[in-house]
Amino acid sequence: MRVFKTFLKIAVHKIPTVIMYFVIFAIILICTASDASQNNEFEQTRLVVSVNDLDNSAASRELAKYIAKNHNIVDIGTDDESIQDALYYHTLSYFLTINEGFEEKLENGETDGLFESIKDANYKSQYLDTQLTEYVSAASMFIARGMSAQQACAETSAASDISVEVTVESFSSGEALDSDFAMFIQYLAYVLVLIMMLGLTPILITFNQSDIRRRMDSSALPISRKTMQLILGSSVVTAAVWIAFMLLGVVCYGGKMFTETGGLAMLNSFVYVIIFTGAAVLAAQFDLNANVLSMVSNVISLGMCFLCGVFVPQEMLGNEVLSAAKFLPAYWYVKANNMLFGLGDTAFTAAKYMTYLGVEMLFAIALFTAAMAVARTKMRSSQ
Amino acid sequence: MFFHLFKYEFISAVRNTQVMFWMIAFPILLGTFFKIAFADLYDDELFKEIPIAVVYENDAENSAFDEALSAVSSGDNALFSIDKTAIDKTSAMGLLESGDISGVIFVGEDISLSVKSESTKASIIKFFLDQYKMNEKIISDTLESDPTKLADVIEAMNISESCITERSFTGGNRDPYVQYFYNLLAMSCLFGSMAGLAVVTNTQGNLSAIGARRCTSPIHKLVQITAGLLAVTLVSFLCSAVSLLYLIAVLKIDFGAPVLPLIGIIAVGSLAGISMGFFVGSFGRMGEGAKTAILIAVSLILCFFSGLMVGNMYGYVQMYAPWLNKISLAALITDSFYSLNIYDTYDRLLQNLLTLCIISALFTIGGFLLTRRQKYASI
Repeated sequence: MRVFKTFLKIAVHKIPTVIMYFVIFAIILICTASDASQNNEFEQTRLVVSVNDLDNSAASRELAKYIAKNHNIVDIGTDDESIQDALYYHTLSYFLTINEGFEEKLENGETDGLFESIKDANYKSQYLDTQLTEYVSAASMFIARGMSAQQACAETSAASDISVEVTVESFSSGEALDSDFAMFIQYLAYVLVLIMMLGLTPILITFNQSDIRRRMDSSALPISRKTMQLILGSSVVTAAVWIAFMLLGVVCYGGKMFTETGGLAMLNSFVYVIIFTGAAVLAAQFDLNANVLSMVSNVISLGMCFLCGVFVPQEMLGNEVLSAAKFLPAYWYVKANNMLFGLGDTAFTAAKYMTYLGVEMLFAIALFTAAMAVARTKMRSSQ
Repeated sequence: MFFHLFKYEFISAVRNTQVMFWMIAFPILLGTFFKIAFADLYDDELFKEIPIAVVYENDAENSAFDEALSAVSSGDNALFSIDKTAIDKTSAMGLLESGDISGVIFVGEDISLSVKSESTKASIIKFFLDQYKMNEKIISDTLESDPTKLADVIEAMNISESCITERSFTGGNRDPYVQYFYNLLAMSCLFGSMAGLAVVTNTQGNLSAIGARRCTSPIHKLVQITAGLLAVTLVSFLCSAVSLLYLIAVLKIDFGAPVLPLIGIIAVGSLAGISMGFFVGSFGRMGEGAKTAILIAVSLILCFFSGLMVGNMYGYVQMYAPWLNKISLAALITDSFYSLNIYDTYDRLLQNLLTLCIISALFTIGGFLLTRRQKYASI
């Protein structure tokens, strides 16, 4: 088992690269997992709003309180530059000015020009526009019943507790949807590619260097046994990487990893890691130095993840992009993951899920076959 | 001799595959990926009618609700578009599952809502339904307590949207996803620091064989370094300019400004990147590998805080640590593009460029001071 032992010795030297990516991924994961406990009930969107109350009356203060109850209030000042910057960088959704004379106008039934808004024309600003319009409408109804503007605003705020029943439908494999867990599995598509390409390929390249290969081929060790030991070494590295990430999942998401959904997600990631073991073996057939390997790995991982919907949801990518992405394994990985967690447009069925995993396996077989073909061609040409 | 050195430093930098990849090929590839991924995101965020379906359970009828719903589903400022193909619960849920509609409203004895996920669209639908129930309650309370005021109450309910007047800022491309491309160019400029490092490596006897050779030459070190820095600044500038032109001409990214001022920002950004590489290269006795790692890490960390990985990071840094945006090279380059795009005046742009020039001057002077009169007793 000399080849296998040497393989592991080289693997230990490559560990810092793997650990670096693992730690970066773990830190990002732990940071994003910290607010994972708010999924069971429907929660309305809270905007970041800045309120400039020029009227400063009892009624306008009631309205400001109502906005603060439903949204997050920030004070960013009133200069145009700060407002414009905050809106552009989405640290502010809406800048609202309650104009002077708000209370008086409302009491007199005049509703034109009560507010001035600075916003972008998106769903968030439409949401607050609707809330303000409806607030004024309800307050006007109370005033029509004979209340003062202040009483009307207070009544409107109190009456806003009325709520219809909302159901968040789950189209996933059966268990409650957990978007953070789904994202963890999704981002594995990026990090596993990088780790396999930067961790496993350099080890195999060492054995493929022409001088070392010739020295080994001329030894008493049969080539078949050398190959078997290299396969064993690659399998150990692949399994170690996969298990490390699954343990990270257990640390972050606990029992969810061992549910039916978790098990299927783990299976998907296992098939995926095998694909990139194949890619690493194929890349090792070419004499790439560390710099070139880093370039190739970054381009493949980033390119594939952007094209296949890892970083941006598949439904937001164009049809042409998705058609091209079908020729890449990450597309099927993400599609299976979306279906499993009810994120895409396909309802979960076990048969479809296994079909997607089957397509991924075909990629793995194709890569291993290509690697063998290249290795054989190189061997023949060197003979 | 100066031009001879300049020429060969230029050729040497152009032939450095690693530097060329990170300065030109990587930004172009990443820019293409950004374009593919972010192409439709801004349009998706812009408000359009929210598609919904209404299902009447057990042939229930609610004419008041129908009237309220059709009032907000018609006209130019319609809030919802009602999908008429959903005739029963099964078909409506099918549309919800496929993402064709954002919510299904069930009208029976009570009104309820089904959505696929929590979102602003779902919140708007829910708010409309909450408000409908609230208005219904106000009307029924009025009917009970003072029926004579019912007509006034119903009339008051129908106010127009003119209670809000909108003030908008003029000019520029307000697509926030363009800032990823600002950051991409900032990254390209900062990756030029590796070429700046190569200049020091090639002149220091303890870092490279060519450095040792040059130490024995009679040419003044200041001349060698100045020629080298100018040559790699030109290479870095050309690489970033090619990336910029690719983004504008091929990917059709709208920077909201003419090309020439954008090229000007690139020139100052390249100078800043090179000077940073020169300073780090001159500092301490670490090897080239360690210094390259430091430069890549510093460049990427600065780009992270200016928004390369998380779009609104610049805004958050501005909220919690505005001083960082005032000294970070990536933030200054990014903000220069942003202010050229958004603002009519050039005050903020000029302030950013001046800060970049001052930082570049400090780095360059620091680098010169650290590298001058270095002698090697033994290498």
